[in-house]
Amino acid sequence: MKIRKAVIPAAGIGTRFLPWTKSMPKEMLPIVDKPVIQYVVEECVNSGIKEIIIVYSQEKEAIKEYFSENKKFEEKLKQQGKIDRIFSVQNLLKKAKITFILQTGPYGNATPILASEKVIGKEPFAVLWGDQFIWAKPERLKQCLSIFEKFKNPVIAGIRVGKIETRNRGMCQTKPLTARTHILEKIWEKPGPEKAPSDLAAYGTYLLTPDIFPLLKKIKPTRDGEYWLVDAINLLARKRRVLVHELSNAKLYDAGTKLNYHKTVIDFMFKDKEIGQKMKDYLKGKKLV
Amino acid sequence: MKKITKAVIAVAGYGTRFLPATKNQPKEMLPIIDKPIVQYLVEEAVASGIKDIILVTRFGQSSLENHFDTNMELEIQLEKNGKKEALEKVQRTYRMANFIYIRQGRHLPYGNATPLLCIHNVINRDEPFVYMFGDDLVKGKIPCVKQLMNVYYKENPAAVIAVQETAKEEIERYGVVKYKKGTKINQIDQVLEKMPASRAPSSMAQFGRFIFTPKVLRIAREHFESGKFGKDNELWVADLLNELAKKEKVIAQPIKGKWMTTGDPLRYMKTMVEFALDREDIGAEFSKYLKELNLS
Repeated sequence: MKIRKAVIPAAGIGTRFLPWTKSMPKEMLPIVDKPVIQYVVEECVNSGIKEIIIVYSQEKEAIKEYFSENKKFEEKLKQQGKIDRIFSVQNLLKKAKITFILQTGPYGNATPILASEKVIGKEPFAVLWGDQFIWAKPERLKQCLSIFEKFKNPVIAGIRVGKIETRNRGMCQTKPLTARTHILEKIWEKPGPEKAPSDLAAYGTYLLTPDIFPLLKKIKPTRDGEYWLVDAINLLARKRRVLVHELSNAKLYDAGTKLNYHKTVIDFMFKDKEIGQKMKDYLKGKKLV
Repeated sequence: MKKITKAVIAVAGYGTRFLPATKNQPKEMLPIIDKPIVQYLVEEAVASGIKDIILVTRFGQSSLENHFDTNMELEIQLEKNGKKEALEKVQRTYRMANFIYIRQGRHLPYGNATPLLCIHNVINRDEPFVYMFGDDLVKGKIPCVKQLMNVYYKENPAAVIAVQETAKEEIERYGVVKYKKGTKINQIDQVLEKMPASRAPSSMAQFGRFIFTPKVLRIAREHFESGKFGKDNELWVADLLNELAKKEKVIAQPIKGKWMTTGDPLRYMKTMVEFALDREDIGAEFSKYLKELNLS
């Protein structure tokens, strides 16, 4: 069965960007002139997924507002002759059906997935985090979808990382299947270099089957009372084959920490047609690069 | 002389150059690292001794008002998780000053002096106040507002405006000041907008920090009521200052520190990079990242 739906959880508080995140969701952090989450939604649409479910929390109305029509504002822009500046958002609204679910329930990233059960129904679906995206050629979602269609098993995107990163990522214990596709045995959360089972990290892209839902209800909370998707995936891997697909030509853009956010902004502003070269010249002139 | 305790910040612009990011937030809410641009302005005013912050806004800017308000759910959660430092950052935003919001109505003309038409009810007769443009930031040890206040208290002029030496290729973008001959206190004759460098009377560009007395408000009202608008039919601060300077003392104070604007994407990006490099938490690593890009 084809994957037609994607869930984008966007309900966590962005503690690292406080106080900015007091009134704006971290998924709305701008990468030059577009919010992070728009890159994620665009990737879904470009990969053929037309139904997108954004799970948000009460403080994050701004995301819903952003992906909704605003006639008054559009009228104003038309008058000013600047309506083309929001074409990229209007285009997404035309091509995709975006549904919003208000998250309730305990903390942790399992909750938003469970919250979307009714909308997903009995079909496979994709999960992508709303505050990070992966630039890849072909796009990471396309790469993962083709593996899903070939093997008919749940697929997680993987990237090889350095030793330090093993402290911040879910690291995969796997058995080989093909050159770039592996069979998942278990994901270890933030194991650090000594305990890491491999250098293959699970990277925020999960193509799941609906049998994940009963497992999401079965998992136990962590000491902080949080419920984690990775625990349900580990249960799923015991019941059926789950694959980790190592992405080709990929680079992660993570707006989750201040440093990574700024690195992301730098990369994207250099790519910008209008300001890219000027920015390079400026940094060269100041001997900052 | 009356003490200066109020700062008026103009944040009623549309920020269309930042679209789509500004589709549902004012451009003054765009982040510089982890704070919205407008918070840097408020902090500068507060560090200069200002108590009341008057924000002149327009419809659709509720995220700005929420930013300087309590957020109970978030605060309770941070407290529960023992995130003290984060909680302090959240609470500081609404504790550091009194916030007053005034909406700029649609019946008013465009222009950087228009907010001055909206504040007569919150500024007392003969009360001097600070006026700030929401997109100018100043990096430096002594807050820019404080520097202007010091000059005001010393010279008791009708207005003090902040100026900075600006490169030739940039000067045409801004208002450049023409100093009065024979005065020692940087008194000016005029602010000249969009002058090519070859014809500019000085290299000092004026930017969005001012101390105004209500005399400026009266001129603004007169211009509005008699339909006396400037370029593009807008109400400009420079026009008000030029009329004021004919009769009164207007001082253009060179500022110690670095003025940076965030008014367009390129300059916003430059400001973002320079502020990030200055930060203790990420500056060193970010600088290393830039150097390793090997652009040259």
